Amino acid sequence: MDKPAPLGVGLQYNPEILDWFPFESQPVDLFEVLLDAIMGPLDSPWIFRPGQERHMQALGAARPLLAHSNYGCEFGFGRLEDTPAVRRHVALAKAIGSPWVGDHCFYGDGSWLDIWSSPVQFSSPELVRVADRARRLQDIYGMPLAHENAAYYMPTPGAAMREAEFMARLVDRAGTWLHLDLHNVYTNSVNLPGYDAADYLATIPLDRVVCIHLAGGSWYDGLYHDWHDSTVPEPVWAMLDQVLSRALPSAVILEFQGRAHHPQTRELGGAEDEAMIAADLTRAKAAWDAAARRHGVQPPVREIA
Amino acid sequence: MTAMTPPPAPGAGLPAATVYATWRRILREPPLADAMFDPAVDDETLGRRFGLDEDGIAAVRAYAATPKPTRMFILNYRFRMTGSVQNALETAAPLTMRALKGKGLDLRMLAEGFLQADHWQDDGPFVVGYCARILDHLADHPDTGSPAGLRDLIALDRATAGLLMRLADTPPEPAVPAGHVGLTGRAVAVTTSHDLAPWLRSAAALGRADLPARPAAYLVAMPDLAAAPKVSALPLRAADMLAALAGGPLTPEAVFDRIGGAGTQDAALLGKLADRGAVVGA
Repeated sequence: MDKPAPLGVGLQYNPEILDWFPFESQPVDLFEVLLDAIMGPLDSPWIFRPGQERHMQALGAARPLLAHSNYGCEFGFGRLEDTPAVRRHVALAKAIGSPWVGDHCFYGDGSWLDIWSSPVQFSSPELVRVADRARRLQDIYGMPLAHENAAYYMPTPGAAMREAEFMARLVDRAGTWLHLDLHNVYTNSVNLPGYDAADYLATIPLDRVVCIHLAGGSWYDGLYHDWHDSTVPEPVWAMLDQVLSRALPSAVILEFQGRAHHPQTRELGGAEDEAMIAADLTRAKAAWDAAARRHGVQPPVREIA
Repeated sequence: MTAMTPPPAPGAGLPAATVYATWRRILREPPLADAMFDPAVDDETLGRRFGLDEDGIAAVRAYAATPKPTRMFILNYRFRMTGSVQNALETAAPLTMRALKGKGLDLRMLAEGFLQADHWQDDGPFVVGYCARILDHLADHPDTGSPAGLRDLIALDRATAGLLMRLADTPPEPAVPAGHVGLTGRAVAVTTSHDLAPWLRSAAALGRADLPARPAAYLVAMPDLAAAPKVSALPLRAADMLAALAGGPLTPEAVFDRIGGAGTQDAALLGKLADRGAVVGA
């Protein structure tokens, strides 16, 4: 499969901030849709949650929609065909006309709330197993599948290679793509001994990066958390410039969310947070437009909806 | 690529599936999570008490070697699980959810009580079955004893959850002989000892005041499998018709016979059941 054409800069359409953030009026080139938020439970007849198909049609009328799968559970240990990815996300991604789909390198199967603490084990046996499932899943999707690197605070025991090496070898073996979350790389570089962000970017094949995530986080109890509750940190902007100087992905997406993971997460809301998101968006678009021109791509023309 | 240097690797060589299975037990079993950080618990005790083999013990010890993130993830997991109870109710039992809020209950406390009883089990994408267990827990919970009618509402949502699960994979294709009436399998009738109408008419009223102690019946139907279930009041005689059809298709006359003879409105009632997607034929 070919790398999708460049789309520009977008926002993750996160239901946790829908009650106050005016997504529809944002001057963005696309929205990233969390498939888990619109999918019907596996033990129901619903593919879409009731009402969400019409909602996505309205949202997608103005801008492209990009599918993002957090809880596909495709790298768990059960049958691939039984996973939410295959049973729901494939149909949803096709229904919203997504040009590619992003997923996460986590374990999950019949359960999934432990997923954020369960990055795949960076080992040779797992490389073979995960790559096989990734290749099969990409075939089922019929569109490029891009794996997002995780923020994980501690590696899954038994890891025997660096994450960057695992990701590079995974896409090489599976013929899949990368969804590079720069804030996750930054978070891991802050929390994990021996994890080097520059080395990470030097190790992964940047030409396989389809999408980039930008976000901010917070310190709590001696750890830096990927909570998507603050402005994008300067080191992450620097990494973005570094990546864009060498390759142009198909999209850059900013992430902001509510109090999903931890009781100490700051809840976003109000004019200051809206301004924070607008400022990060403006900066990301400037970086994208400059990079697009350098790579010989016409930046998108944007109008406020 | 640059030169590869392996990271420090606690638990080197452990099978990933074993590590993942063990980690989920740590998240779900508070006694195991406590024991792994207790210096007085040695490997042999750990294995015996929790039924862990050599790899399982090694996985526990590897996680115990990173106490701060391990403890943080246990906290995260329980925080997210507590939130998942509310999500499950919103997804598959929205009436009960609104009624609990209307009553002013502490939903997080209620969720934690359920999760303790349910052993912090996460059903992941099987949200409806998870919701059904929550409703079963609430059905005789002391906090749902009032207002009058709340437990009837929970029973209505529980029946809806059952219908959703029955329709999950293969929609029923009723075989009804000519001249007969049969159930579609896409609806369920629920009888209650309180009249839920005041709550069903106004979402703002849900859970706020006692309901009249008056027998009533409701139909939950899913003629469109892509849409939310529709709840409507059901005459008790129509509920009797559906009960009569539970054994298989009947002629209309046989239906009327089984419920005590034809009434003047019975043919119309049967027609309404067909309109709502509960029966086919005739």
